[in-house]
Amino acid sequence: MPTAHRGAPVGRIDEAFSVQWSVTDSPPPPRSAAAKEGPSQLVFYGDGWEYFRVWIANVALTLATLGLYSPWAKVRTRRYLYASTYFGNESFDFTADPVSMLPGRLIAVALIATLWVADLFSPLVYGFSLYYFAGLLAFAPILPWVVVRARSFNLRHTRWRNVAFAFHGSYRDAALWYPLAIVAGFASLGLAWPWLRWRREEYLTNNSSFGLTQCRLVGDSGAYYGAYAGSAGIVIGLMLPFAYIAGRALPSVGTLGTTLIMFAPVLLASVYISVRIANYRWSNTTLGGTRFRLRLSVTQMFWLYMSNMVLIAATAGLFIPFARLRVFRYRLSRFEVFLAQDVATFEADPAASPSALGAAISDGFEIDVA
Amino acid sequence: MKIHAELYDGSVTRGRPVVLSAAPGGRLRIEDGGTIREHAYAEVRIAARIADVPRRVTLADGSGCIATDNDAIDALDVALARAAPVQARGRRFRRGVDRLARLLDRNALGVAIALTVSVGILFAASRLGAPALGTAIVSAVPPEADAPIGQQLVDALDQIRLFQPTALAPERQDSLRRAFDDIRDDLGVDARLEFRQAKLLGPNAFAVAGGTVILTDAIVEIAAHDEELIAVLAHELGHVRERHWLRMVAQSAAIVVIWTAVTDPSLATLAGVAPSRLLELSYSREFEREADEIAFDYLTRKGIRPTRLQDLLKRITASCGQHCDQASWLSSHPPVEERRRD
Repeated sequence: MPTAHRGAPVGRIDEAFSVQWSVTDSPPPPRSAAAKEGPSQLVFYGDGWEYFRVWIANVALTLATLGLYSPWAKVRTRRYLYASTYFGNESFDFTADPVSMLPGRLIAVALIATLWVADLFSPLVYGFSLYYFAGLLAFAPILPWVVVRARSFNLRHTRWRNVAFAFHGSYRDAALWYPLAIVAGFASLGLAWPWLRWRREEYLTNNSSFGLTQCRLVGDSGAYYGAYAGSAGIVIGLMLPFAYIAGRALPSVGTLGTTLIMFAPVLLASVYISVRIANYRWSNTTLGGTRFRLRLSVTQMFWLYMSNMVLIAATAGLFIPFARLRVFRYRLSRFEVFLAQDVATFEADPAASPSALGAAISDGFEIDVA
Repeated sequence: MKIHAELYDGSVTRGRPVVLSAAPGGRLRIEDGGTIREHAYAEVRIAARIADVPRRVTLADGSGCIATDNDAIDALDVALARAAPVQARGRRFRRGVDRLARLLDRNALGVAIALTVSVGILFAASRLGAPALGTAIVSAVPPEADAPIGQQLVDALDQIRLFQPTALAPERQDSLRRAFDDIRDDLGVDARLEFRQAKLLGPNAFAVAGGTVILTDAIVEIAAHDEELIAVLAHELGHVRERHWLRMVAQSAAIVVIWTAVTDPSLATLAGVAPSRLLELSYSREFEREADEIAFDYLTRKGIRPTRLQDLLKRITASCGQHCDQASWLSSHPPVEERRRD
């Protein structure tokens, strides 16, 4: 029975700060935890079949309502994942209200549809659709606003023990690190790209907080350059041998097999970048005195993605929810938290008054594009 | 019925155990240490149930009571709503949506219903919806709109030098144009024939929006008889007459909607997925079959052996060996073996 682990999950954070679990129907005992050095982990108690049920219900209702159900689908998916993720004895929570997400989504979808129709009727300049890129350019001035609103939305509605995360980055900085940095990145022929990405993530992290406790990203862009250089090495080193293999294998594996073979080095390179950067970024993030460590392995992630793709294709998509959980579970299993304070002492931000929550939920206008 | 929960008041990450229960008059009773409080149903928000994950009961002051006994919370919600019908009315929509979702993700029966509904909608959409949608769109978009769209594509391919000026003798072009005009008038469509050299595309033929049909030099040269090219032209004009390009656009839009429902990607991703105009260069098998039928009909009426098309395809296969899958006419057309059976 997939739900056997539930009931009342009770965690006791013991002396060594490793989390122990027992399943019981009695009320959770009051928890106390002394601040201790040593890692503790986020534990995922979700179940593939259970998540499959949530997923297929979402698909059915989204299709049946021509997409109008999608905000509910998003909230239910996220709530399932968050509420199955425990830190200590309590899981995370996602509190967004689907009704308030609907207008924002409808506007976004209308804009995208307009872009597509414009693209269809657009003159082409060297194969590039003029109206499509003009449309993207016209979108650039509101990009900072969208970035800030979307991140703020996602963090504001993420809670642990009823204390919300928050984002307070300025639009000015968002304008600097999004549209302008993208232009600068191209202008530098990509050479500034790792640094710009580092600065962008610094902006995102340093303006995030859990209640009153601030996040900080320390370090420098060196690891980012290493990640990009390494992935360039992978592409250059593997592309030719793989192209040779693909050419030889074409008669026996067909076009699809060949595409998969050619795709492998590209996927490996992009997994390499994202893993190296995620590891570095999380391992250099602090929350007050609390530190984190992420140790994803490139080969593990690559294997997960490749096998997921094959299984999704083989099951006509039905494996999608299981595939997602495999990745989610693996990521959490490689994530460690070094608490520097008692878990029960993180203070909420009084400015983000919880009592304002009700009002914000019912008539808010949420921008959510992430 | 008493529900054990952990109350977090929202000021700090410290909780305390409380006990929730339904009090008379549709009020929520909270036993909090030594004190007992009651809240009207309107001041309480009970999160929707998802599978069996913990959920919160939010109070007016922002406190959250997190509980794991989902069945008991369901019962509490029903009891409160029943005892306070006026306050429950405002929540009818939200509760209704949640109940519907819960019906589907509750058990194996719900999964069976959800799967049936999903597969049924996808099946109906591809079998009934797509043709109907295609027909509706074809009649809604005036034919005058087609010409610039196709012309822009041809211009763009000229611009990037994928297409180069033809090297065919003018007399050869003229004789093929005459044959083309005959098919065009016979099928009653508005169309033009153009020739291009396109080394990357091999022996190839395209019909773009607005009725421009393009033959590559290679396909003209590889043909052993003009009737083979007439068969190709009749096929391409079949695409033109049925306005397949427009139907392809409608179908790819529908595929994006389905993909969105299944994978729930970020909207930002969606903006980046520009539907490629090059889609117009390859049609689905179903459209190929329709074009084949139109060509077959024309050829038999004119006393031309319909197998002329196969003769040409066979020769293309023989000439390019295993590489012809890449770019030639074969890549966008069903394999020879399959086509011969039709």
